[in-house]
This record gives sequence, C-alpha cells and structure tokens, in this order.
Amino acid sequence: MAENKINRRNFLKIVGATTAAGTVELITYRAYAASGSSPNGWNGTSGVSGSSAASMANTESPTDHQWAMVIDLRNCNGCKACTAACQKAHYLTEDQTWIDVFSMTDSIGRSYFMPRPCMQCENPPCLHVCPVHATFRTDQGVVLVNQGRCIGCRMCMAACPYQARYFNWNAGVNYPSMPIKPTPEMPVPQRLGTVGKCTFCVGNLNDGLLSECAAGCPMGTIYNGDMITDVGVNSMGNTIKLSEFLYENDAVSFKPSQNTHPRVWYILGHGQNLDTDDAS
Amino acid sequence: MTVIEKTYEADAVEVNHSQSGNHWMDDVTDSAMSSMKNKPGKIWWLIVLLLGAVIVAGVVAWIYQLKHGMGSAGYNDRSFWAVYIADVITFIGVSYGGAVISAILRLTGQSWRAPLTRLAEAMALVTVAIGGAFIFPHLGRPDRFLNIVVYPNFSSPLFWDFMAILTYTVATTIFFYLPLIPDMAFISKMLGEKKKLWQRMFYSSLSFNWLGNEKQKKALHRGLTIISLLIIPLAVSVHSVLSWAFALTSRPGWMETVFPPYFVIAALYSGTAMVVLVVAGFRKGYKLQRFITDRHFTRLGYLMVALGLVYIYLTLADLITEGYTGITTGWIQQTVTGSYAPAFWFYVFAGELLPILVVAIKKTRNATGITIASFFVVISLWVKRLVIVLPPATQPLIAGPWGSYHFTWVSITITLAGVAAIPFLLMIMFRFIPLFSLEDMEEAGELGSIEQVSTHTQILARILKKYVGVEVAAPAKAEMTVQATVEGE
Amino acid sequence: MKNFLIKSVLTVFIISGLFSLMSYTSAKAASVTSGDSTLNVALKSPKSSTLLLTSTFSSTQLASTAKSSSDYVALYFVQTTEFSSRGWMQIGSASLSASTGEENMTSTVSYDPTWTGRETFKVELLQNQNDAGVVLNSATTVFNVLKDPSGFPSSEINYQRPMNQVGKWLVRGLLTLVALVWILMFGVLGFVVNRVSKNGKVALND
Repeated sequence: MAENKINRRNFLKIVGATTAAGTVELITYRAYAASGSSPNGWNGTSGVSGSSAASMANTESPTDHQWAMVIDLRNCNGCKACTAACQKAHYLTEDQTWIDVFSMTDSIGRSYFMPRPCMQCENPPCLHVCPVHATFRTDQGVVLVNQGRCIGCRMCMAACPYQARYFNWNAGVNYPSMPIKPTPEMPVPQRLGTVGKCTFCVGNLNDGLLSECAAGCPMGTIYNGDMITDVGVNSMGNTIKLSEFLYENDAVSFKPSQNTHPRVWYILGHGQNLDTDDAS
Repeated sequence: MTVIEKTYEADAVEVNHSQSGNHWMDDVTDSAMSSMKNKPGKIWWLIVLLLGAVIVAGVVAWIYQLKHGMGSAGYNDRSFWAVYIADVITFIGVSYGGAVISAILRLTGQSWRAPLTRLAEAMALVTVAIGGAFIFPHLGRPDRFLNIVVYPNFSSPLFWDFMAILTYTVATTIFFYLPLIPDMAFISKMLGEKKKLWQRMFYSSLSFNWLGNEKQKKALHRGLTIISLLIIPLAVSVHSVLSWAFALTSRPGWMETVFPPYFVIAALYSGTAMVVLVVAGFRKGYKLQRFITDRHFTRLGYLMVALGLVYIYLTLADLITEGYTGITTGWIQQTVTGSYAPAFWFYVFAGELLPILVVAIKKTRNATGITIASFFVVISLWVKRLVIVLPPATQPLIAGPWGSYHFTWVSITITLAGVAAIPFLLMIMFRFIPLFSLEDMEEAGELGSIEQVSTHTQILARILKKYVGVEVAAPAKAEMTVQATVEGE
Repeated sequence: MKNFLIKSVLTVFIISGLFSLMSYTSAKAASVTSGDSTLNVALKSPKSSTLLLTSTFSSTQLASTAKSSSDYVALYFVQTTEFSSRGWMQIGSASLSASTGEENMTSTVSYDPTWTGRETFKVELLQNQNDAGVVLNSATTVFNVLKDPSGFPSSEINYQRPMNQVGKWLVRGLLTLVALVWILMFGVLGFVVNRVSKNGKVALND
C-alpha cells in the first residue's frame, strides 16, 4: 500500500482527473491567478452593484483594500469558536451561523471540518436575484445586505450555493440597545423579516482589526486578507504574503462551477473532495 | 340550395323542436339573473358566513405572523420557501383556467363555451387576486413591498414576476369586464327607474350606452379577440417567470430547463380542474343543469386529462434527466422514496391516475365523476407544488442532514383562508353580475351552447336572415329553418 | 506595472550607521542594528515600481559556522500594519551570492510594494540546511512609498453578470414589451368603451 499512499498533492491530481466528469468543485488558486492581470495576480475587482451601493459602501479609501479570507483546513479542529465569536459580536441567535463549521467526510471516509463564512463572491448570485438591490457589493469586494430595504422574499437564500444566508424568522429575540443604528456593515440588531449574513466584519477590517471569527479562532485557521496589499494575518499573528501562500499551498475556492468567484480560499490538507452538491 | 343542404348534413344534430328561441333566451336570462334577483337563502348565508369566518381567521393568523415573525408559520433557514410560495403558484395557476376556457375556446370558436365563460373568467379574476395576495404572507417585510418599484433590480426574476403578475391581473380584469358590458346594460334596463343610486352608478355607467347594435357588437368582438390573443402569452409568461424564480437559482431540482413549460402545463391542468369545480358548484347552487350539461363536463374532462398527461410526462422528464446521471439525486430520492414520497405518490394516484380513470370509464364520465376528479386534481397539484418547492429548498448544499418544514396553525389557517376566499368572493360577486354572459349565450344559441356549432351554420343563419328573410333567433334553429325551406320549395 | 509610481524615494537608512541618507520619514526607531549586516532598498530602475532589496552580510561572521554561502539563505520581510498584527510578511528569499572567503556576501530580491507609506523591511540570515529556524543575523530598514492614487486596480467589473452581453438590451426590450402590452390592453379597453358609448349615443339620438 505504500505506493498507494495518498498525499495531498497526488490526491489533488486524482481529483483533478475526475474534474472532466464535472463533479469536482475545485479550482486551484493557480488557475485563478493565471487568468488575472493585476499587480499581484489578482483580479482587482471592485464592482459596485446596486443603485445606491456607492453611498452605502464604506467610502474610506475604498480601493485601498480588497478583502479576502483564507481558511487553512489543515488547522481546523472543529471547535466552532469562530461561530461563537461571530454570534456574540453580532448578537445572533443560535441558528444564525453566519460562519458555520461543517463536519465533512473526505474521499477516504475520514472526517474533517470546514468553516463556511459568506464567500463574498465576485459574481454573487444573491446580488443578481435580489429584486430591490438590498444586497450590494462594496468597492472593497464585500457583499452586504441593507436590512433597511430588504423585503424578505428570500430569493437570495434560494440562489446562494453556499447556504450562507440566514433569515430573521422570529420576533422576541433579545437584542441589546445599540448606540448607533444598524448599518449594512454592522447589522446589529438584526431586523425581523429580513435576511442577514456574514459581513466579513468589514468594519473591523477597515479599523485594522481581524474579523471576529479570525480573531476568535484558537488554531489560526482563518486568515483575513487584503488582495491589494497582499497581506494575510491570522489570530496567531502569522503574517503571510497572500498570493504566495495561496499559490504554494494549492489553495482552492469552493464550488467554482457555480461561477461565483469567491473571495474566500481554502487550503486543503486532508484529501478533501470539496464537491458537496450531493450531500445525501 | 345544395350548399345549404351540405351544411345541414355536416351539423346534423338532434334539436328540440318544441323550443322557440326567444323562450329559451328568456330562460337563460332568468337563470343568469337568479343569483342577483332572488334574495339569498339560508344556505347561501350559511356558506358565506362560514367562508367569511375562515377568511377572518386567516387574517388574524397573518397578523399573528407579522407580529411574531415567519418562524410562526413553520419556516426556518433550511426551508426558507415553503407553503406560501406553493400557494402563490397554485392560485395564480388555477387562474389560468379562466383564460383557457374563455380565451382559447373563444379563439377556436367553441360555441359550447358560452355558459362557462362568465364563471371561468370570474374565477380567473378572483384567483389571480388571491394568488397575488399570497405574496404578502410570503414576504418577511410586506410593508416594504413597494421597494420593488422604487428600487427595481431588472436582473432579478422576482421583479419580472411582479411585472408579469401585475400585467396578467390587469388583462384578466379587462377580459372579465368587456363581456360584462352588455349584461350591465341589460341589468340597467331591467331595473328601470327603480334603480338605487349605487345601482345607477354601477350598472349604467359601466354599460356605456350599450344597445347591442351591430357596430357595438363588432367593437366588442374585436376587443375581446385581441384580449384573448393577448391573455394567452401573458399567462404563459406569468408561469414561466414564476418558474424562473426557481430555475434561475443553482439549486439541484430547481435549475431545470423544463421548468417554464412544466409550470405552464401545471397551471393549465389545475386551472381546468378549478373551472370544473366552480362550474359544478354554481350549477348545483343555482340549478343550471339545463344549460350546463354533462357534455360540458366531459369536454372539460377530456381537456383536463390531456393536460394531465402532458404534465406527468414533464414530471418524469424532469426526474429522469437528473436522476439518470446521478449527479444530484438527493432531492429525487427524497421526492420518490423519501420523506416527500407520500405527497408525490398522492399526486400520481389522485392527481393523474384518478382523473384518467374517471374519464376513461364510461360510467364515471359524467358531471359528478369529473367534479370529484377535478377536486383531487386541484388538491394534488397543490401538493405537487409543495413537492417541487420543498425537497430542493431543504436539501443540504454543503453537508449535514436535510432541513424540514412543519405546518403550523398559522400557515394552515392562512392557506385555508385563501381557499375559502375563492367561493366567498365568487358568491358575493355573482350577487351583482349574471352567471352567464348573455351576449355569448345568445350568440351561441340553445344548441350551440351545448354542442359545437360550426361557423358555417352561423354564417348560414346570417344568409337566411339577409336573403331568405327568415329570422332565426339562434343558429341552432338554422337547421330546422333550412330544412323547412328546402322542403317547401 | 505602472500601477505604482513611486514619486519619492528617500532612501533609506541603514544599519550599522554605514551611511545615512536623508530619509523622508526620518525613520527613527525603525532601523535596528543587528550584527554586521546591511540592508539596502532602492528602485530597480527610475521608471519602475519594483524595489530591489540588497543585503550584505559580513563573511567573517559566517565563516566559522559554514563552509559555503549556499548553506545560507536570506529571508526578506516587510512589516505589515494591517489587522493590527505588526507582523513580518515574508516577501522573498535568496541564497547568498559569494562563496566563503570573500569579504561580504550579498543577496538580492525584488519586490513590488503593495501599499503606501513607511515600509519597514527586514532581512534575516538563516543557515538553511542545518538550523533552518535559527536567525544568524538580521537587519532592517525603512523605505517610504508614495503612490499615485489612480494607479490602483481600476474599478472595472470583470465578473460575468447574468447575460452580461445582452443584459442591457434585453432589459430595455422586455420593458418596452411590457409597456406595449399595457398600451395594447388599455387601448383595447378604451377602443371598446369609446366605440360602444359613441354608437350608443348616436343610436339614442336617432
């Protein structure tokens, strides 16, 4: 069996071979970077969609940052501290797992954990289907929800391939009284009858802080990244050159066949198969 | 005269010789007005109050839902779309039945449609209104509904849903109103000077000096033909765009090419069944058996079964394309053998096999049998919509168990209120308008309103009137007159 | 690569006090001396935005621990300010150029700065084969990067919106179609009502 030992690299080759069958939801960062032409190999995207998105977006030197995230699955132990930190910061209910940790099974039957925040797609299906432009994309590449406009039709929940959107179903949740009104960047308190989702803690990022999930991760699994400065940092203080890190570690994006172009990258390490369309 | 004889032979049918055309029209008018003239009886009040109570309960449930959130209707993040969107599709779907019976049958010159058009069109109008209203409990923030106009996103299927439903509703209203003009004039004339103020306002002003002269009839016909032509593509567009609210997402089970025709056929199928139900109800309630016969039911039954066969064909086509490759089989397993299997197989047996059998077996091929079959078709098509909505909505897209939807008293009450609103609104509506389109009935004639009478026969009647000088009250009488004329020569 | 236009290159300062050019930012405490090493940062060429980082280590210090320069690796870092980390982001590595015995061993990497302002660079000398983690020597320097704000990636939308190519015209076409349908519907209503009421009046007057 020594010959058949599956290490990550040749497993990826195996996986890559089945891509032809159309079932494998992997795209390597390398392929992605090869298509780009901007300074760091990124697609410097700052599409603002939505009529009033520009006014809504955080206008503090918008194009100085393009936020991204790297999730190094090699480090995740499934403790869900990220979920807890996120829920605490945003006063979410237990069901509202803006970053959820899924227990997955890899191709040889072992389990591993996979945190799933909002992918902050560059081509977000949720944005396209929102009938009232309540979902918009900022100059910094973050997809946000204006809960003051959302009509609660939940079309975005239908369109999101990552199951990353959560509705405020029930009244009577004890919200704190906040000194400031809820904003798309900090939608606290949540509004009944509207959709909420991971905001990438874009306020934190602009203040030079880590997002709540990244800061709350005791394993350093989650890196916040900036595609402009090409910096990535996790809670352990590890600082990475983002593009180099993704390239060297064969980072992949989740469900590339959905044509969403996520801003969240995964580093595999357990022989995962990220194809999960058929979860039954 | 040989031409005339040929026409006669082509349309040879039994005619009740003892009836005179004018008497028949009097009877038609009496029956059509029976819902307006006669003071409603105890049963009418009982039914209306009962239905009203259900509707009030639904409104209360909706207020409760507004206050406590949509969680109280059984929704959760893993079943974010469920019963209300199925209600929207079902109600707007059955509305299509009105368009079929009226528009398609009108355009194809089916004279037997005459006693059905008014009921079908009224049903279409009422159900599209109810279906549209179900968007409000479906929304988390119905108070912001107008945002769809203020901040429209043209790339959203829901914006086009809104446009299509709104346009279709307007078209249905016009389609309902135009044939009413002669009736309004008739009622206005009938009431004479005794008219109360509201009656004058309502009937006189809405009849626009209708006298029934040739020019007016011509204008009305032309208008109705155009609206009939328009309402068919409009209804197709409504159900296509409704289906695209599902099919334009990437969810396995929803992202299906077959969805637009799938939804259109389902709408036609359930709509035809709904026409049968409404016609059956009013036929029994106002004793219209003389004008609406078993023949009408069997024809509608044939139409319904034909549409049902197309629908199950599309259902199977949908299942096999995804099921065969096995790429995304989760929702198919759930549908066919999993937790939605009872609902799915209920549709197959009650919604497909039952109506086929009822229509196929001669003994059950009558008004009662087809009405019962239609009842099951409407119910099972609602169930089928839930089966279309729920498995793909509740499937796990990443990992973990399936989500589930559980009915609560809120969602059940609101849905029942929508169901109750159909007969409720129709019963109230027909207190003010006649049950038949008198114009359509007169045009079709006694025979034509039951059996198909070709346009040849109708042309013949006109020829007779013009050249032979024989006045025929209805084309049905044309054959007799012709026969007499030929024999006389 | 004209995204960056480094208007002012006021280098730099160096460890060991070898020389000290005027620095734009005066670079006070950012420079740390550590052993017999220097780190130089300069533009690769006047028109480019690429920096050339050159480090020099005294070979006398290294001679005792290794045989040849290929045993050593110089890692280059820049200090980040984002996410409150103040961490050192590795921007490159290079093996030393000269063999043991020469006076100084140099290495060079090039780097495209990705943000503006003071950037603190560091070089670390490691013995790459045996004690990879042990820093033998290091040096830091500060460089001030000014940018042309318009030089950053433009805001062109390069993802595919649904039906990107036909979208605009499709929407216009559909809206026109809807408008036509409405005009037709109300036109028909108006036509019928108008004809009916006109012919009704005429007939009444006759």
